[in-house]
Amino acid sequence: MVDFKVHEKTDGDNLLLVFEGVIDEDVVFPAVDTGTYKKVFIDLKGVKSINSVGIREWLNWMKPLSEKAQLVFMKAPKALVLQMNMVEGFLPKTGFVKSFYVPFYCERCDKEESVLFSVGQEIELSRGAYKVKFDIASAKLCAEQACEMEMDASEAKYFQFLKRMAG
Amino acid sequence: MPKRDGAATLWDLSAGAPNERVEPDTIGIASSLEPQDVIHLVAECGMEHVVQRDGLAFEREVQLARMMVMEPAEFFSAPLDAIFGADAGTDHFIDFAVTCGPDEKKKHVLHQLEAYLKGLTGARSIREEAMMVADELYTNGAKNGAPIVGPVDASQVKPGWVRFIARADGMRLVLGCIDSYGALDAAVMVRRIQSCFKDGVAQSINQSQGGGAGIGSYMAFNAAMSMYVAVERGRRTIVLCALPLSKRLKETINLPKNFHVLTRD
Repeated sequence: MVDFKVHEKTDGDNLLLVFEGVIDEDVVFPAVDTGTYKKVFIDLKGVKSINSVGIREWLNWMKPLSEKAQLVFMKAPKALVLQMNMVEGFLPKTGFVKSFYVPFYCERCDKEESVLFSVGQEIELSRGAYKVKFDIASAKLCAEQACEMEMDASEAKYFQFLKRMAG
Repeated sequence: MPKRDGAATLWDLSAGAPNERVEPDTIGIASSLEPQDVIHLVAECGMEHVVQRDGLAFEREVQLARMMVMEPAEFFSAPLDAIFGADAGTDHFIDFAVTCGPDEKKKHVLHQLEAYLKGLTGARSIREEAMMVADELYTNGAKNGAPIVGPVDASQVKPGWVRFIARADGMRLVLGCIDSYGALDAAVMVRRIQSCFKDGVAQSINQSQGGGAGIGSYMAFNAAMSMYVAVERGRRTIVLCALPLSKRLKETINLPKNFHVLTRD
């Protein structure tokens, strides 16, 4: 298990936070000067897992921050996408998920891939709905000719949070 | 309608749910109840066993429910044998004991489980869920022995133990904890799960900083196909979850859930 770490980088009005490790009872989220930044970008690629106490800490940290700055989440892993769908407020109303990982699996090759979907590219949002524009054939996730790679999640459940963002 | 079956009562829920509380020895048999309806039957009707025909290992789950009603001591003495059947293979088996205490014990448990899951066929699609369930159930057991948030000094640690166990049979992975405290109030736990369904997860979070978030059991139930809760007050608590083993998540994602509760003074 990996302890939680945060790397910070500022760029004018913007703050970039890179999270790594496990979000649990030991997590210490960074204090953010909300008067200084208009946008806070949070890179979640390195987050391994989150537990129930981690969810509580996330909500308590996120709520006041989301009232003062716009939050943009990037590279959200499956563990956090599941919480965005299950826990109301986990993705704040003013929050925006720019990109997130989608699990794929081929039973034939026994190969798995986590594919980064970005809003505006693989995902289109409009009028309260989302549209998946990912073409698995052209993505060439596997070199095998007969590969049967497919999404390893229920699309309706996994992409549920996108409806809220599109609304 | 209820039908006597030895010391147990089988209640076919296809004709509808009972209007009042049932005898504690009642086993409800359903087909495709939603998770919140399963919890409703347990919380509001006092139905201690709800088993679904379309769920995993239906026949085995009914046998288990009968055993929990008629021979509870057998379940308490060997819960994994009771769930899988005493003659089931134990090719993929871990059972290790860890005493309760500060956080590094949990890290050790999760590390062991992570290694176990890597070698377990069909566990690929439920890795995150299994790790989360283990985290929540271990935390629930360990907090009876010592605070789980903040620094812990020796005077706060109560004597006792928490044991993490897991076993798989190619179709199901069962994992969870046994502790020597027997302090769990099963009714409160069920109400907490019910609250998450009724009021929402965020609204059900316990904000008291010293304790758990109060949503861990809901998260475990949400990820599991079956949940087994057994309490011998003051002596032992057993909380286990069964997760489906399958190469593809899609094959198991909509399986209906079972629930079993057993309490003894």
